[in-house]
Amino acid sequence: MTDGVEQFLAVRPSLFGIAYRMLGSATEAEDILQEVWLRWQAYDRESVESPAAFLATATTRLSINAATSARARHETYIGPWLPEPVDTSADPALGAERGEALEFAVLLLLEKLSPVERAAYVLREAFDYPYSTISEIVQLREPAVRQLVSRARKHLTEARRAPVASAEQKRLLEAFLVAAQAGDFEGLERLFAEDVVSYSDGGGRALAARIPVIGRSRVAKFIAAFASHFWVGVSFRPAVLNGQAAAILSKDGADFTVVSLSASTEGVDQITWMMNPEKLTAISA
Amino acid sequence: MNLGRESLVARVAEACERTDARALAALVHTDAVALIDSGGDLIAQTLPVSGADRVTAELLALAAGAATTVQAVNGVTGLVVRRGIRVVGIVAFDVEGDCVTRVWITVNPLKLRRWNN
Repeated sequence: MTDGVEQFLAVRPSLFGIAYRMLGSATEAEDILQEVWLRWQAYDRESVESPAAFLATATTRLSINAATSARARHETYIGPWLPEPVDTSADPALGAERGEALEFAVLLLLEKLSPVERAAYVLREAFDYPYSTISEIVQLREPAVRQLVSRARKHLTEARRAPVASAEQKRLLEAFLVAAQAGDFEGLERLFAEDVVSYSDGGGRALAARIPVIGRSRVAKFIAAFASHFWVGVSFRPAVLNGQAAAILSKDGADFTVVSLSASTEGVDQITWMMNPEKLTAISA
Repeated sequence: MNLGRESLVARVAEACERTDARALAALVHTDAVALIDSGGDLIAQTLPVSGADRVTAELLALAAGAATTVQAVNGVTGLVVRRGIRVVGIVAFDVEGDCVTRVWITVNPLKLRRWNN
């Protein structure tokens, strides 16, 4: 009987990769590997058909347990808890098939998933394990595992979308301004959510609709109708108003309107035209 | 313009080296957020900071009197900050277009042990 060292060393990098992604801690990952090694030493290795699968299973299960207690510790941590950074210049994928689930943004999002969800996601996305294998490792039926992974993916894409919202808003605003100037009805419609609302604040002085315009095609029509006269000789510069993407429009060197918009994943859901001269002084100041 | 992560992080490093707040702020998104893991060592700095100026200030504070190197951190380009031969901080970034949107700074000595071996 061999001492099992070779088999262990052969998969060590990927075991570390699993534990690190599960725990966001290289130190804890090393502890897990230590424990796996001891179990492997004590085990009847002759009876193990696939050492790699055995070791990955042990690592994942121990990591799930450790992740459960780590979660409680992170909650009482002083200040923000961040993953322990790892130097990936030697092994960019950190023992995985792909370098997935290593970036800080993703590791922090994984923290929000349950440990089992996290394990299923990591084994699938980074290590490309078949669902049937993951199902054996986490002891859930295959359809349930598929569901866990797809839910985890969804969580991660949704959560990743949120912080880029302001960049996306900026992009939408630019596309909106182009379409509005061109009076491009269809182009406007494509940018809008079904229930988009356009509000104008004219302060009773400047020319503005008093009632909000609601609905995709009505708002598109309303704005496209402006195109012929409203935009002539108008230049604009980008701004951010209360965290919303905005553009300040000026004509003959004077600012006369601020248009801002907000958007959801459905598209632009609110457009505000601020044409009230009193409120504009505060902005251009 | 889309600088790409590597050249963006390289520019951040240069601005840190020169302690050039203006150049640095120009590379940071207006709504950028920085999270700092100090492991409780710096009680004062336990909340996330947001805004280009404040994120810039944190980066400059970390880089002052230190050497900043561009290096792979968790699979993507990040920064390693050293005083002498000692790693005192690791910075990871999220980028969007031509600016940095999120910054994660690890100064917790326990989490830097592997970088100082």
